[in-house]
Amino acid sequence: MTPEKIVELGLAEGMAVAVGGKATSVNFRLANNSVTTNGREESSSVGMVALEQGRVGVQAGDLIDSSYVAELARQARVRAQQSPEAPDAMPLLTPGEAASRDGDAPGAAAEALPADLEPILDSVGGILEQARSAGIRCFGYAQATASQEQLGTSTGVSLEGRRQNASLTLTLKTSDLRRSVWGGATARRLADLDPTAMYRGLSQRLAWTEKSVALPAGHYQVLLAPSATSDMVVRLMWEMHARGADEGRTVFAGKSGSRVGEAMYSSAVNLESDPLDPQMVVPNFVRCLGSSEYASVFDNGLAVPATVWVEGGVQQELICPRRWAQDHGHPVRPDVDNLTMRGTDTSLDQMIASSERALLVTSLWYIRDVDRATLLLTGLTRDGVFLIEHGEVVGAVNNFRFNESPVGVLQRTVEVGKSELAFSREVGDELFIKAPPIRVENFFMSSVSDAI
Amino acid sequence: MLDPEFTGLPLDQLCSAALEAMASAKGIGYGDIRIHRDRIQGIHVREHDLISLSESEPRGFGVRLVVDGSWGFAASSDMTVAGVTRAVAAAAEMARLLRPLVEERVELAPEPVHQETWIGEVEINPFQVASERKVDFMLDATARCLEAGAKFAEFSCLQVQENRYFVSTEGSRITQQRVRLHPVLQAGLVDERGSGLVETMRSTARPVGRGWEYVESHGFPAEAEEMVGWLREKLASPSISPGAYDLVIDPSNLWLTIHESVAHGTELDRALGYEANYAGTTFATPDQVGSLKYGSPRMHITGDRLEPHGLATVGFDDEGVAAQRWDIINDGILVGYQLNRQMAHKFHLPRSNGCAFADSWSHLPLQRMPNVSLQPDPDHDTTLGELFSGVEEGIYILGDKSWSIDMQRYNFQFTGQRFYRIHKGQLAGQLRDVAYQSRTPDFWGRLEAVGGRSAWQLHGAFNCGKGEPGQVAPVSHGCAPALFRQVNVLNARHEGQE
Repeated sequence: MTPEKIVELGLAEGMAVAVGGKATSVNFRLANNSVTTNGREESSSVGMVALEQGRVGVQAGDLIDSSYVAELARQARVRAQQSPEAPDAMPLLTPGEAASRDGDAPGAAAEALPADLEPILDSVGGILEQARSAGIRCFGYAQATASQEQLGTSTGVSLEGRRQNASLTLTLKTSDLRRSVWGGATARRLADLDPTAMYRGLSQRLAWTEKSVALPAGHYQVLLAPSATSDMVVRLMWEMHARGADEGRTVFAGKSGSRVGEAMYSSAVNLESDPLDPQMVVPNFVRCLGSSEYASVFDNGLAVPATVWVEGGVQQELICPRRWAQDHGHPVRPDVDNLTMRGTDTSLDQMIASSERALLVTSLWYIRDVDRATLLLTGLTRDGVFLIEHGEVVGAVNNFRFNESPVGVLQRTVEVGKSELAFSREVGDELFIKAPPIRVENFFMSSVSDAI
Repeated sequence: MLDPEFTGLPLDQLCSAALEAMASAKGIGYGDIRIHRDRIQGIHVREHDLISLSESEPRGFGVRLVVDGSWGFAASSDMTVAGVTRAVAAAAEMARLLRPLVEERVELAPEPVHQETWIGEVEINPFQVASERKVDFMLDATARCLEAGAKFAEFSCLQVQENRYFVSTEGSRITQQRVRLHPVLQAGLVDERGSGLVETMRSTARPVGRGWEYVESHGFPAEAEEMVGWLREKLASPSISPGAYDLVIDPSNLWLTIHESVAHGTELDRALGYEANYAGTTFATPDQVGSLKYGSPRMHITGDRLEPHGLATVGFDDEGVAAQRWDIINDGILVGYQLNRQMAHKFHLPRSNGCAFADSWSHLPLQRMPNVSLQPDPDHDTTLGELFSGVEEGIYILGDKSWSIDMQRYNFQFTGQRFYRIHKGQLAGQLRDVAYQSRTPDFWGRLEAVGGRSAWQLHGAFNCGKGEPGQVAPVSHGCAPALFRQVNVLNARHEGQE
């Protein structure tokens, strides 16, 4: 059954909102120069939202047949009847108020098939052979996903969104497992990725590790590679909602109201989202089966516009669903499934070349909140910290635990490089991110980690 | 009782179709099919409002097979004979496509054939409780927090019922059902003396393999008021001075330290490099079994899938291996690992200890964590008071909050919900901003005493992450309070302002 048919059946059952989805993916993993596991997954999903005089009932599941859609609709109605009135109740959007239909990813594939792996299998086989010859152990993961979502409402809104993405990550270790580097890349299709080039770049970094330099905990000037930058800005984005600021729960709470309008970061920092960015197209309308600070079920179909969150270091916007915006005098700002930190024309190599003494940090790991009021995070460097002196990488440095807030990191950002599609090691490829390398002063490495 | 909606599915018909398709295809050496049907309900209330109540029923199947030494896996929500037949073909296609890149052939340790049904014990299945009753109960708790002076109060409760049907080409045929839930009540007050922002306190309730009876018997009505008192005291308490302290760590905090530094550190797939690109490896390598000093002689760690109401407790794992209990660390020395059938064979062991688990129908079973627990003092039923009595100046830590550990499971940093100063063997009021940071073998080497059986508690998590594509698994960890000498303590607030 198609997503369109699911929605049609759901609306015929009297649902206020009906969502039909279809997703497919293919993947394989690598360890010790061998494929270990693989998978091909396909699913069809159903989401039913019943509204009964401002009360909400939501029921979702994996599709079985048309009678199951009717059963889920019945259960959603029962849930609504059992629930008190929703605090975010609003009239559903009309087609004129909702997003237009021009948000589809141009040429997005309907499904991911085993054949989608084939374009990279020869080159992956080639790099595994090179790794064996060079005494290197290669580990990794490749995947391709295609998904389609159809949304319909009882007020006549009908929208379709597609998403297609692929990613490849590789870890290279020396045969004694004493030295390690990592890289990740994401694109629309696996065919757009180049495992051989990624292996070549990582081999160069692995060569940098032949000389090791032990450094103590302390404050360092660091160059965060795009993956590490993306890990930091994603954590910031997760807190960027108006409700948390209004209630004094997050770092975006000011002494009187939110910090919108405040120069919270270096003037070099600019953050924005655009669902129609051709490199990272995502559905340009709200899909929500459970209300939260980020979205409301009553906002289903709401247009997700391009949004500038931070301009010249000044916080411009916070995510805000319609009802919270109405009750608290904010502009409506839907969440977006992609994020860009704008960059410059300066490459990471140029930033290395212009460094007197700095640490190059290529990836971060296991980042967790320590203090929500300051958004203090703790985490670790992983698979690639290098000492740069007089414009050149002079060796690999031990790993560190860091204690830092993304707000502080972006305040102390003194240089921004060229922004690129980045793979956040913490978030994976669930969220499209473009991020640049950044130079940060006084980055606090709080202790040394023995991990390799 | 098994859920009739699950047993009413065409389980045997689908499994027979899978076995027939495997038999008729060429070169399939081993195969299995797992059919899942879960029920998941999430309720979230804040202050006096129901924020969300949603229920989902994921269902589908995964087919796993071996062709010429290569795994092939395919999963689908199309629960028809045609869907199963197509999935078997897709799994075989994946195996053949990737076979040229497979260097290490799949071979499995043997396991007896099982044809059984296992049902986890609960008193009140949460899916048989009316939603109004649950919502009203939760709103009553948040109202009590507000009456006690909280500025914010929220209560969420995730409830899950898992049903699985496993059939293999070896002849096993296993039906299972288990229920778990995780109630989280949290209150917030404005930190007037500190940041001026909201500080929160969470209840002592924990995720359990039990039914709704756990929620209604936990004591939320009384604890709602207590929590606000704890939070008020915490906000008025002195900030910790960094340094080395003796720590008495409550089970409500120590479980997470066990999880991160011991349970993940003794996963054999990490030790063999299968997670090197994602979750990481471990310092506890196989060549050190029998010799690695993980901690002090007081440290006795077991793995099991048998503990009543444990979140990783099952009758059989997702390869059809019967649940077991075994030693992982004994007298502080590494003696065992968590295994699946492939790793047991690679490790030259006669049998897996049953640690294969897939978080949904759509994912391949990975080597996943069983319940991993610190055993209590075997000689004496040591009380919390006896642990305090041995401390001149220290900190008693309760509840988990922030956690982070490196990819080889060495360097970690944890915070908590509440911290009490211990002065001359007595509790002397709360402290704030405490984080403890250490290196796994150093930390466990500082373990001086473990509480007795009476103080032993089972805690855990719903959301242990691992694998690519990512999977989350529920797991429990049991322990009694324990005394650690001279652990490095940071001031979490000052750490961000260095």
